[in-house]
Amino acid sequence: MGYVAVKGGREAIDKASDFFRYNQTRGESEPLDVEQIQNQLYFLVDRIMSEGSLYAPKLAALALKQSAGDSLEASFMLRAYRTTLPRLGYSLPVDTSQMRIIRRISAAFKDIPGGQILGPTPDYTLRLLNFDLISEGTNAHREYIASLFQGITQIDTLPETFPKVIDILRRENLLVERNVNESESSKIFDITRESLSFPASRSASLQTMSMGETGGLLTLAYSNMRGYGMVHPTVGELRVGYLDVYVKNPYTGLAERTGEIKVTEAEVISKAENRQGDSPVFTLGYGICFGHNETKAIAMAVLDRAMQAEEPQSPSEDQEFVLQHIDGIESMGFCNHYKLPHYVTFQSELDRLRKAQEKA
Amino acid sequence: MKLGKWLQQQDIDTSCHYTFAFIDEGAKREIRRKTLKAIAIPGYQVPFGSRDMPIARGWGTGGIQLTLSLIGPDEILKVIDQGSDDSVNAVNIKAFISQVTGVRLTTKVQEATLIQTRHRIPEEPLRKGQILVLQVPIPEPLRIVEPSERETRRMHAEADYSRMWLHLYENIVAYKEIMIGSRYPVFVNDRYIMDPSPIPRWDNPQLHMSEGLYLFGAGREKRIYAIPPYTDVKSIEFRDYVFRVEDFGEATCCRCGSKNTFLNEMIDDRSGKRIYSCSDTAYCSNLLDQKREGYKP
Amino acid sequence: MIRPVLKIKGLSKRHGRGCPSCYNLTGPQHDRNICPQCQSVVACHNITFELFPKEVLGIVGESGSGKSTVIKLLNFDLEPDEGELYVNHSNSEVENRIGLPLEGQNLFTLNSFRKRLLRNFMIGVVYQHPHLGLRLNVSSGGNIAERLLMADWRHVGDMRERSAELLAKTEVPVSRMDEPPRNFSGGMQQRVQIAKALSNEPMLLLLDEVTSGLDVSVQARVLDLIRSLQHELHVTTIVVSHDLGVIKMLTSRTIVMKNGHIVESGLTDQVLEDPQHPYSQLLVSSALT
Repeated sequence: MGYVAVKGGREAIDKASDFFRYNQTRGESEPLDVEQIQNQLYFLVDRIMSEGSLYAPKLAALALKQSAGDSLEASFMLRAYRTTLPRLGYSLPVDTSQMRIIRRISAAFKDIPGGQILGPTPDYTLRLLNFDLISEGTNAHREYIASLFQGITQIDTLPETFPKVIDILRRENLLVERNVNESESSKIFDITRESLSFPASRSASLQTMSMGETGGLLTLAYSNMRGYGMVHPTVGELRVGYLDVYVKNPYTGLAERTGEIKVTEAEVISKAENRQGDSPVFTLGYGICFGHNETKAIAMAVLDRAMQAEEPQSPSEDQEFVLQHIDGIESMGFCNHYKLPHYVTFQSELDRLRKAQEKA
Repeated sequence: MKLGKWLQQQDIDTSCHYTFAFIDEGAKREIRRKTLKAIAIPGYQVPFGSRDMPIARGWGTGGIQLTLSLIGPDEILKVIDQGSDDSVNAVNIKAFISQVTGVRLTTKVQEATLIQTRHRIPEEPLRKGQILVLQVPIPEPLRIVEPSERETRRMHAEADYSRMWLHLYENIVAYKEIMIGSRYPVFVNDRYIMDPSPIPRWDNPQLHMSEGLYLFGAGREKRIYAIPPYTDVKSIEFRDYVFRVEDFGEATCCRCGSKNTFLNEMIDDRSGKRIYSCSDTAYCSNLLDQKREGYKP
Repeated sequence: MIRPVLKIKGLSKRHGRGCPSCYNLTGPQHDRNICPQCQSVVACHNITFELFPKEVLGIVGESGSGKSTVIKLLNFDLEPDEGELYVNHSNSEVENRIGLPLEGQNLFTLNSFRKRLLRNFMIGVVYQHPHLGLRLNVSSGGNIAERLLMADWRHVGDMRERSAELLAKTEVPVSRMDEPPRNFSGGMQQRVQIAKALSNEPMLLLLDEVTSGLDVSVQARVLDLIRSLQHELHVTTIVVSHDLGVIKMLTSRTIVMKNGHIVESGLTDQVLEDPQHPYSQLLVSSALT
């Protein structure tokens, strides 16, 4: 349902595109190096990969350069590029407890098996503008890294893997049991090949959110957190790290490792009341996305749980409302399409209004 | 040192780009006035023009604005999060406040004149003259029954709290237990139902007839409220389903052995062995010190 | 001489912009509620009547007559444009809380806080549509408890006992006390509403077309229930209906309304057997016997 073609005066359009490129290129600054964007604006690059639904950091950085930093445009470009690639197959399901962790925290318990690993995060910085960054020398990065590691003689290693915090709750029957529907798990919906129908399966819902626009997901999840909903979340576990990607070798039938992707995963415990037999239990919301994007993973997990409500009382709980409006490419396209000429339809409206005014 | 002298010193020292305590003086005045109004109407949520802070919304900006508006150079500040002086949020906030005020920091409740806290009240009761500033994520106790702000303000104005009571009744019908864990609503001065912020129920009784002043700041939601000293504060309850604090059974703190403090539950290893320790780390250290002194000949 | 327990004088309600001609250009003589000048709807105008203790007063009329508006105004659901309301009743609980004696006050001039208190303690209402009077997702016992909670009851056991008593009285199975009325039949939902309305022993009970949405057989049962409750409890009641059969069965005195005005009033038997106003005559003759 993505919005695509435009018609108009050929020359005018060409000139408009040139003008845009001119805006980007004028001034005294050097052309941006794609690698600089990839390394130094990595949160934005991760966001573009996630919304573009294509794990390709370099291409995402390129798209950002080309779009002059318009994140919706950049994600759009990645999606378009994706269409040019043949679909070779599906990767095998991966167990995220095997994640190679760079960050792993839980808000539910003060200490957890394996420990609270803060990892790389700006969460605890003060948002005070650092004016020193305006004029950094060319060696600034090298010098900084050198100073960080100065005098360090020993580096401890992290454990290979970390157990899942929510398993603690599961063991004590405080969390709802996994409900693996045999027939459902063998058929995972592919939203890029089939259009959504409602009620949508959980796999369809999670996919749609995983490539959804961060701001849209955040707005809806925030509404639920503030009171237009019942999730009352606690972050059971938030992980950022690398997952191996395996595909099945069509000849040997064996799983082959093709590489790894960085992901952010959130498991959110919900207080929303639920029962297992006679006992009340906590329930779970799940979120995961490409790259390092904690806001998105948490928002996604909250919405995942919200949409499990039996009777939606608010937009965040209404599956149709959420899933149909969170794709950034679709929403941005449709919003901006209103700038296209609509004078024919408008003429029609004018005719109606004039007649109705005559009769009044 | 007087504020005036401190300000004078700042003029000489040109590397400091910010006013004392970061917030401009006009903003401080507004916040103080709103705080006075809150104190005059215990439990009532006073709207205020919440300023943007360099710390994210949801991370204590309301508490910070209160602290920064009240703090003078001679204050002694303690900051805790979940009861601990070392918790990430506390460390972060302490760093910021000390950077923009230069005030002395402490971990001892007895020494502090101003204490900012997230989600706990120190076990040691407040003394006369002490102020506790609590960080509030959601100031509205009626939010669990009504999402509309317009409607909840009307409910407070008319003391129309039946829907809150009905929510508790329905909990009892379904679970034979009131299911509100923390943020347990209190009835203040026989007039307003108030959200005490996400402190455990364990801490609610401290609000009643305290010698110290409790201030509550919600930065994102833009509300200030207060419990002045010697105010009547009752956790809401039915006569046959009374208010109950958290039950730790036979557990004791693994550090100091206390049975009378709010405990953190931690899972020690993969087998799920549980250990407990005092949430209020300063209080725990104090008890431990006292114990050790007791063994000296 | 028995004094009236309730007096309404000059009650008027209009929806819309309003203009000086509204009241002159609408009413039964013009056969319309809508002012031709400004399109405002005059829901009711200059309604004056008295209500005596323990009496059941009927208000009959067709849609647009204004009868439901009168109920909404008496229940403080709507604000009148003009009018006075007096009660000859004292209730020390209420008077202490609102800080005023009830007698001699035009109750329409009280602020919303005081009106709410008055309503919680003294008035019970049953609406035609259960969703207007009940919270369909809250247990039926909870619906009744809500009224008790408004009157400051704070003992769960006591509230459940009182709810069970009322449900039994209104022939709702007490075993269903913890179920939400969403799952009940229309007749049972109305009975829960009645139980809720009676929970605080109101001084005034308002019944607004309570059986109009129900199947005929179910209607009869609910009407019987209302009648027997009336015999037992003697609550001063106003019954609003477009159905003369309901009026005849339940009420001793009747007011006939058309286009927002009272056109006739008198003893129910007399109004039904010997109607004076042409509109009343039309109503009576049209009724299926």
